[in-house]
Amino acid sequence: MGAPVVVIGAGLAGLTCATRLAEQGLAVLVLATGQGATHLAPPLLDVLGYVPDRVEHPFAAVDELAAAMPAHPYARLGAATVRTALDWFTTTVGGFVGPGDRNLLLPTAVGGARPTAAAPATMAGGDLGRPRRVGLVELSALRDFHAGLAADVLARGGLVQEAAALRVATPTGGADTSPMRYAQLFTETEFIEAVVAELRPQLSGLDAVGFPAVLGFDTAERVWARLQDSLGVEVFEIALPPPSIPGIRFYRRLVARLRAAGGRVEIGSPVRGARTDQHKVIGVRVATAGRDREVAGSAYVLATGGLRAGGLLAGEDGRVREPILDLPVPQPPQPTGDLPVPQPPQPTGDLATSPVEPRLLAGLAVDDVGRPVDADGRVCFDNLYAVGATLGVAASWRELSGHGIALASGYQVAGSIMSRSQQ
Amino acid sequence: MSGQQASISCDVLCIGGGSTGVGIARDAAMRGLSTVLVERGDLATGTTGRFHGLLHSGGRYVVKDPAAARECAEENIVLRRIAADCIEDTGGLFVATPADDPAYGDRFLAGCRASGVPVEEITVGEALRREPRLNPGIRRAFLVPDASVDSWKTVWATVRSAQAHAARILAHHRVESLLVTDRQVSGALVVDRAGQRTRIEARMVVNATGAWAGKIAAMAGARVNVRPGKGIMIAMNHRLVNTVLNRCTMPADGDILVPIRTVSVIGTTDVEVADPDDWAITAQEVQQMLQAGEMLVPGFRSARALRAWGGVRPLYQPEGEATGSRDITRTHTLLDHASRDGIGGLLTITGGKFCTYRLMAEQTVDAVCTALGENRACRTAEEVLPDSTEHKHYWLGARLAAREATRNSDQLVCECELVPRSRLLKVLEKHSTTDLDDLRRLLRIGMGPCQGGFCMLRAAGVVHEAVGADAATSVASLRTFAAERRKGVAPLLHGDQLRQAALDEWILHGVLDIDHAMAES
Repeated sequence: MGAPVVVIGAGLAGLTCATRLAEQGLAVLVLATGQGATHLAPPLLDVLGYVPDRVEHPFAAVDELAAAMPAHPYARLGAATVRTALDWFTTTVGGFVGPGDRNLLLPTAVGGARPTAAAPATMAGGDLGRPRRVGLVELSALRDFHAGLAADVLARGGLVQEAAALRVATPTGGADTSPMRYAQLFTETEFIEAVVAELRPQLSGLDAVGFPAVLGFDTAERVWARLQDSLGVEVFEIALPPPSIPGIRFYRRLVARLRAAGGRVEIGSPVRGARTDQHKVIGVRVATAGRDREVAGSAYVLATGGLRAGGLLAGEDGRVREPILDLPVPQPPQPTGDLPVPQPPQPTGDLATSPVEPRLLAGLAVDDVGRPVDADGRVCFDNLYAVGATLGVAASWRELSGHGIALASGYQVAGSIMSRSQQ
Repeated sequence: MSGQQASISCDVLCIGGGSTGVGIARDAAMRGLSTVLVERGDLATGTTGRFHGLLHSGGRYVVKDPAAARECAEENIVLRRIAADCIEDTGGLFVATPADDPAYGDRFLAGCRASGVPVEEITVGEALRREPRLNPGIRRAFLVPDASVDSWKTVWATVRSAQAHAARILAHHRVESLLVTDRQVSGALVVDRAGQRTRIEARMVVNATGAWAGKIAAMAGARVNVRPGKGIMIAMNHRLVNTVLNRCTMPADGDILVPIRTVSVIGTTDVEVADPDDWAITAQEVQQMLQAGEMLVPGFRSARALRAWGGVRPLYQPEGEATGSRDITRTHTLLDHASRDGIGGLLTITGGKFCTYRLMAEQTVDAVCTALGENRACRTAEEVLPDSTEHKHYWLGARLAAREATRNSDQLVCECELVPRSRLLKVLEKHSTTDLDDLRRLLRIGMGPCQGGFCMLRAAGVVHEAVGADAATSVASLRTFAAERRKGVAPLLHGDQLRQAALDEWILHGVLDIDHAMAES
């Protein structure tokens, strides 16, 4: 086997690209500093949630968005690729509901209603599409989910018939129990039985019960099914702020799938730089103890994430740069430098949507097959591709498009690399 | 408008809930005068809550403004006695950096001795031993009793003392008009957040609104020339130093670095602004502060800047004088409008500094007593504030020590500032607020590196349960708090702080979808 395709970054985009390549028989090596956003973000496969009104039909909306915003990654990828990528992912990894033609509408930890195209089966049952009487479970030692607040907001929001907070005080050995520890506790039969026993008397009149998303790692689906059986109502998980237990769950599955297909993953191997000639990347420099080593590949995929992940860095001068190859980054408009002074708090009830910080929209521009290009549209390096949040323009955390972009761009670049390797 | 109008009658109405105003309320109440204080926002949201937290030894003013220096030196001792719990005894250093004239040190020493500021010159080696991050190129170093002081804690403690002496403190009550008849002020008409009006009749009205004093005085037809001097500050996410650092030079921009709580604050600028409610922080000012920090602590710029903010000093300028903002005295001014303008029943106190707030209050209430023909002695310099009765200064490890003791029995709501649930609940019992920004001032929740990204939701959940806040209020409070935090981070969006802001944005929108919560209702 020749030099592998080197994928830099182990987030959803990088792993999707790598897995797809490995499935097709290519040698793949994933190099990553650490785990990516998979450990922070719930695995809700967003395609498009807001434009800025709430989106009902995500794939149709992708085409509309593409027409309106030619620089958006979706304009190049197109709804069909997004759909194919999601279908491939949900089939390969398993355990998802969707994507259908319509977005699911899932309750958030603060009682909001968040659209997404596909969700793990353990979470999809939260869909607010039909009016129900819902109970939300507060685990006493988990500080990131306040069922009383979420239930109140959800009920006032009018998307459920009724919402109640259910209290579970089963001891965990402390007052402050992390989601990771709860996930472990939910593998223990005794703990699950105690939780069920506490909940049973609180269920009267309820159709469904929402748990904070801590129902375990590999065993989560069994635990979820078991809770539904024992409680006799539909059960669903609600995504929490980081860390995301379901995110870790699906990361593990995806990596297992990649390894089974022959791919290699090295976590703890930060790529610090690259050696290039005029047209190609020749090798990347990996930081290791003692001295850096060079890894050579046949092609390179930059899946290092955006500003949030450190794949792009913003300097004091406001300029955003790409630290490994110093690729040209189209710069967002500079802020004016002045900011209004905070006034005494305004009367509450101000529901205006907050503005997007332009700097957060910075990212790479790429050609039709996914290779970074400079300001004149010239390809930077013939064998270098970029995927996921390294791409600019999309306010993915607002429009809820991050996973769709990651999956579709990862999938598409895998296709570009395969078709060139066959030539 | 509400048809019903409440009415209150009192001896003294104090307008303004900054340090001076609450100091006056406490002093007047302790002297047995029935006292009401009104403040348009929350307490300490004006200049008091927006300074760097330096409790001056007086050293800063010994050459330029000896009168101010002497007042600082005396009040420094008084506050250490009555407000020990609000003060961290960091000590202070005046250092001559390579850019400063070492000969100024001699004038500084002479000035300290003349103004009663305790001072000791130490060797450069000793200074570097104390503060290893200090610029190794410094040429002289002087030790003074500077400290850092928590202005919110001081204000709250002062308020509690005032309330214990029967003062009424009305936050979120804006003065709509003064009651004036025949050039005699007899009170004010105030309006609260709900639009409810209250008529407050008082034998004496004190205008303690600092930079806003001109606006209130104008309501009585008096002209008070306050020149609001904007100062900006930046909080860095570490204690880069543990001693207050001052440059040993004439007061200038960016020459103070104050370790306070878990951060260090670089300050400040002095730019005159036309309106204390309408001004901005410029990118250039931010750069200027970061560069100034570099002069005191090399590598300063590579530390993480958490937040930039500004406050407006109330600099009083008598009519007819024209000087630059830096040259106006830092001492305070008490104006009796009866003798000055022929308007009875109104005093204005402005100028001054946080460090001398108690003295300002004392002199003001002395004048109130004179005007009312009462003879009552001030006791604020002797009677210790609540929480300070053990005469122990605050120390950096206090919250951690408390946390260690209860780590298995109490939940942590804010990791950055180590605020446990029990403490939040205790504060909610006393204050019963649903406003997360109020809780930030009371507890420092959301002031650390994550700027509320993680703790906001938790705090909102606890408030919802404990106070019984309704859904709409809770959601609005979360949004308002997030917007407020975003403003302070906006001038500093680069490097790690940009990453943090991006993560916070994503949690708020990507996970919680906060902007669309209750959209259907």
